[in-house]
Amino acid sequence: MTKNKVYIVPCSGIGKAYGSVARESAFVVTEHLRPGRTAILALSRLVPDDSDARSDIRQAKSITIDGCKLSCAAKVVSETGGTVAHALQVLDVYRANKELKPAGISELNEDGKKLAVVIAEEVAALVDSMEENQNA
Amino acid sequence: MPELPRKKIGLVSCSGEETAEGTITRLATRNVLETLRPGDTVTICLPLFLAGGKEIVPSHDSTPRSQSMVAKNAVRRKEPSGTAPSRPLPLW
Repeated sequence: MTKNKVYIVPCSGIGKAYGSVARESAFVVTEHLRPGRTAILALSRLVPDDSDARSDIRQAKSITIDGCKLSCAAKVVSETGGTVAHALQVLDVYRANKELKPAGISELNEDGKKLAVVIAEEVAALVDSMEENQNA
Repeated sequence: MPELPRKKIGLVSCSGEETAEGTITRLATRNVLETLRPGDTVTICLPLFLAGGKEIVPSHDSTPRSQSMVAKNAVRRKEPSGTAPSRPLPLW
């Protein structure tokens, strides 16, 4: 992984729809909006002492997308030596888009998918601004 | 005789987001929890578990709750199954 890529670290929660929204938004960013410039790093690789993952996260900036206020993604990235450039909360974006009520965990409903796209577009804009600042 | 709580089986699925296989393990876990063995199984997010968290997820629950509320109000509900083990496509 090159140092210029931005890591997207989503929530790994399995009990709430907001965790699924966080993951879905990370997929949209890395596969469709900013492919090649962003990459997903699984949170579970950082918690045990996976030296490769920790080394990667320390060499790049990260955007975390958390599904609840426990903020596991932001906390774990920060505690393992990574730089959290931006810490997003699905709930905050949902509050600004109340018409998009996510439901379902295995399969998000349409509102959940739309909310994920809204978050993904926000993340993509943040990636752009980070790159602009880096090049300035 | 007091009735003791039934022991449940804990399912811990892969949390790898960067591979499709990780998604499949999560779908399999949710399927067991919601459809195949509801009431007999629980799960927990792997990073939270590794980090020492105690938030057990008994069933589908899209409402954010504190750890203590999750433990006390372990309501089990079924969610329609039959989801395909693939990533949903973006809307655009």
